[in-house]
Amino acid sequence: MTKDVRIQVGVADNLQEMALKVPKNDPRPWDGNDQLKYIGGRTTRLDGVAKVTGAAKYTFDMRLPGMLYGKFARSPYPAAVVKSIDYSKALKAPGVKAVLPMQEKLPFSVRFVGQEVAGVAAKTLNQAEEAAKLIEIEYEVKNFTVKLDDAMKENAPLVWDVQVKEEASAGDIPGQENTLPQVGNIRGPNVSARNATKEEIDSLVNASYVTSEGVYRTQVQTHSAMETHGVVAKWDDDKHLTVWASTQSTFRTRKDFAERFELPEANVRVITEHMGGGFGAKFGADTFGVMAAKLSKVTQAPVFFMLDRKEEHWAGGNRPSSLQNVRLGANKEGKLEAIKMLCHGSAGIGTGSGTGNPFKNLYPCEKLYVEESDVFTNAGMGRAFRAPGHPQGIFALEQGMDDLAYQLGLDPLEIRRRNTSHEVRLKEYEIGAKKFGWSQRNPKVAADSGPIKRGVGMANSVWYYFYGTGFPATIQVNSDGSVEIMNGVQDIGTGIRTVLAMIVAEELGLDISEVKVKIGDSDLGAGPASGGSQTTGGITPAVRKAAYLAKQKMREVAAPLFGVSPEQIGFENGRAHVLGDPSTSLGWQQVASRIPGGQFKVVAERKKDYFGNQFQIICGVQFAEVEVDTQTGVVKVKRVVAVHDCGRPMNRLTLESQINGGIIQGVSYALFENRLLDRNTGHMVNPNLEQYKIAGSMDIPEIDSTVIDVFKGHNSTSAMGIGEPATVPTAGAIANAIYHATGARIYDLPMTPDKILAALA
Amino acid sequence: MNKFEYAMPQDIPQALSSVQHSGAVFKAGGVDLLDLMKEGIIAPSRLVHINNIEALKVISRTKDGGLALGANLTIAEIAELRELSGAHQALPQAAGSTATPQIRNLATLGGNLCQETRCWYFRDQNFSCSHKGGSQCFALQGENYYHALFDNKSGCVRVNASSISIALVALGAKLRITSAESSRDVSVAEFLVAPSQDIEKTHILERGEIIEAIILPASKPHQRSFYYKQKEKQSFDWPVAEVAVSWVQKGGVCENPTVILGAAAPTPWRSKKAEAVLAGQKITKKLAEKAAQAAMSEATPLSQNANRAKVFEAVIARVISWAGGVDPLQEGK
Amino acid sequence: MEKTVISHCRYLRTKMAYLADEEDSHMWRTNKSSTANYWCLCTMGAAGPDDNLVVPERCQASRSCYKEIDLV
Repeated sequence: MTKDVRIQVGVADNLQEMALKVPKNDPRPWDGNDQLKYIGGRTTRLDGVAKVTGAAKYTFDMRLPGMLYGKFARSPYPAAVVKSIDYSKALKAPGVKAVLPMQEKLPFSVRFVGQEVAGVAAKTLNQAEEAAKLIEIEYEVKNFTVKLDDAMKENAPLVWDVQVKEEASAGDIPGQENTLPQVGNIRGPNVSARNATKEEIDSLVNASYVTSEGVYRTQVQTHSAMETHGVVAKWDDDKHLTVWASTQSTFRTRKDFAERFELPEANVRVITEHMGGGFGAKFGADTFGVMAAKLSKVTQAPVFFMLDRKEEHWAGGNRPSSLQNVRLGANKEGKLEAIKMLCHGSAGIGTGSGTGNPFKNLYPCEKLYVEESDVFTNAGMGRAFRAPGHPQGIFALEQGMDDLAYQLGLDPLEIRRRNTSHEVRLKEYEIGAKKFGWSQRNPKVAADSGPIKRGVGMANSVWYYFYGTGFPATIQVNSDGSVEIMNGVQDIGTGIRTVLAMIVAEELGLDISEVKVKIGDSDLGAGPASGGSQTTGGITPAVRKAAYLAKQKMREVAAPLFGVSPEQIGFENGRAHVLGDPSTSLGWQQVASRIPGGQFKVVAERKKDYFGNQFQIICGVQFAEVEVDTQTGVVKVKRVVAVHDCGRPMNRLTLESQINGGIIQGVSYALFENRLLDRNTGHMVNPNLEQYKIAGSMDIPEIDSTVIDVFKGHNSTSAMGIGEPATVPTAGAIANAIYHATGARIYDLPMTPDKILAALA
Repeated sequence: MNKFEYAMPQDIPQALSSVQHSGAVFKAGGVDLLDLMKEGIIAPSRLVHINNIEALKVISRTKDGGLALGANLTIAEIAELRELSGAHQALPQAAGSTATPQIRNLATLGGNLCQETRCWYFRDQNFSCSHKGGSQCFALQGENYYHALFDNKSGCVRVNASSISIALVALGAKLRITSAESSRDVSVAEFLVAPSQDIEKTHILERGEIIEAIILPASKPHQRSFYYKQKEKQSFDWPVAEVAVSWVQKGGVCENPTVILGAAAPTPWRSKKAEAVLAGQKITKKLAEKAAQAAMSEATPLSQNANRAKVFEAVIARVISWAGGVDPLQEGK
Repeated sequence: MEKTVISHCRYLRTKMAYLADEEDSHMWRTNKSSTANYWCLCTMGAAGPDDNLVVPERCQASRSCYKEIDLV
């Protein structure tokens, strides 16, 4: 059963009417004409006070009676085989309750410094740390390779030296047609081509009126979330496990624990009441989670197992490095004609270093050839990190575009305009350029005469709309009028808790303070994982639908009180009234007091969007102003103007916060952060937050963030995500501003003083 | 971290007696000490907390007009001490750019001078390096961008971490070192130990000795000084280059210059070459650049830090200019 | 929309496995993603119980540690 609705869709105030069929029980989608009380406004975080006063309890703050502390013994070698483990000394150490190996079977290999070998549980954290040092591990030490360029050499020690026996021939197994070659430490290439072969692409680039070539390098960046990875695991009995986890997905983490420990999913509960950031590195049960649950089982005590900062850098994941060979060709007007990009990168012992997506998706270019290869090194495994591959790819692609613009004597913004027809992007250019004062920029490079030179640059973001389905949102209305919204979704710091309350308050005409949000608990029903910038887009339609259903229920309760039919009842400002007649009204609580049985509950699921799984780009543009000291090489980012879109904005306040955070992380990536491994031993030399440099308060530029409204009507809220797009363009924009200031292009991240001076020399 | 006793003496004799216990060390602000303990670099059996000792917080004039600063004055207090403006400003400039406001509120002048190098191999217990009694310097063939540009041929290429020591050496300061039996004054330059003297030692303080005060000589007429720390980040960061200078300047002419470089060598590095360029000359931007070049002509960069020498050259020239009252950032030549 | 082909071990994991609907999962299941990093639920590392690399094309039936996905 469907109903016909007409809604206003479009970008900002450029709206047009669209006819849409929606299921009969769905609310009419919010559109560009709706004047809403909370949605699109600025609501402070519901948990803000609890967070700043320390009342909010994170996984790290959990203290349970009888709780033990877990710690790993980790490999000091970048490549070795664990031959034997002697626990006797550790077991005799004060406070120690259990010691367990990381892997069931010996021998097993370790492939990076810091890889988990064994776990210990003791009464205090200090006892666990000291006992971990007493575990005697016999290693057979092997050759290793930690630098990308070395690992690519023919005679490099192999990170993965155990060959799989050739099983069934490819083609016998469905999916095997996508098998990637692996030669030495190089796995790949993963090839993407559009109307060009590898043989053709160079001549296509060469035939262009103007070409840009560059070899770009980006470093390894660690996630460095404020709260480190970890869990507290507690067996309620042999068959029931409760885990407090600093995770980006309560529900899937529950599934992992259930599968790993062969329990029914119903017997596992994962709780994430508050969470101190993840940036893509916190999915699933993880090493420490499994170890904590095992230690908890044998000791019959809750086990606290959080990583320290050093472990976080070693083994908590990272943004892989990259080495990108870029060739771009454009015509006289600046229109891209051919793109060639070959990249190698290292995600340590794992895969996933590709940077090709921005090349494939940012600009429509008919001829494209992209090869992406992983290079294995004896270093901690990469993990998804805030727009995987994108800040790296944009750093290269957008400098190439900038280069083309300067070669053609074009305004760098103009060349972007000529390479897009995306309505949202063009609107963002207009708003951003105006706010930044782009038209006042000096078209000349290195125009300042003193040693300290100012420059401006810009770069695009590109990301995609993802969402999952099935998430049930539950609303419970009680006889005293209190309203509870329940779902297992975790708030990883982005503010979804507040958004949920805003939606319910909006739909029911209540004050936000009257809505109680219960989230972060797998017992409350599956919520979206917070990855791919899909939390808000994933859960809000279910929440709105549940609120809409709750409203129908309350109409049914209220109708007899007014002597009208349920459709005639409206709710506004905490009161029920007959639509069109506000003169007589009843308080929400008065109506609720008549709920049969004293409570009702409605559940709504996240369904597919009205247009199905339509591929949609999320845009975004950032403009940066820098000051480059050409004598010391020090770069200061003075100002960033960011304009982003994420469908219909829910809470502008927390959205801007996320954009600000993305820019700060981008500045930090551009100028400072660098995981540095000792070339002789494979040890990270800066596993702290002192020598692993992260932007501090004085390094943060003046930031002006704007979120524009994009009304699509693809579901009842039209919300999309911002987490990832916000950090994609920053390093590229800064690099382009450095070029404008100095006339020197920096091909290598981070853009530290020594590299600036070398480029200027 | 190991278990330890904690002693809280109320005066210097009690402190000196308490520290005689084997494995005992003094703890003032505890900033560096606790870092070293947490990293497993040291494992003292007793911490003698000396922050309660009032005698170590005194500021007094010496007989010859100098200034004695109690060793337990905090870095924050030094940064704001009115007596240190003018000729001695390099000291509060160094103090004010040390670490973070939180650390400056706790860290002390004496503790700052005794701190260990930030060398990442020294700070990692997995590396048995020469400064810790091991057989090799891992930085020499390792990751050494932040390591020494001078005096790096003696088997340890660490750099001294104390910004304050750079300013104090430039100002010719001394330390009053007291033991149960006696008291002696040594210059800050002599207090800090280079690898060529003793590769494992950082300073000359022996067990049973305490730094009582830091003594600044009376300033000379027309004396001036300047300190600047160049960081990569603007927030908390260690220097990539730091310079302290002091001289007497009459009619624009520089007399008796001292030019001291920090983050450059295992101990504060005095550039006699730069001093020779400046002595008896009128300070100009050009002269400052010449002195900076002279200073860096002696540098012996390691495998990865030649570009840091260039940063240094710019910073030396600027500090000389600033001290001499010349604007090094003015446009044009 | 390409049809999902599930041919790998049930213990193969990657971040996208925590996000996508089953019908969107072909990207990571078939190696089309260049940004996916993989791990094994048994070892929680990049190596499987047999100490070899965990990637979709290797986590196949003939491997000693292979476990079928129930739902297929």
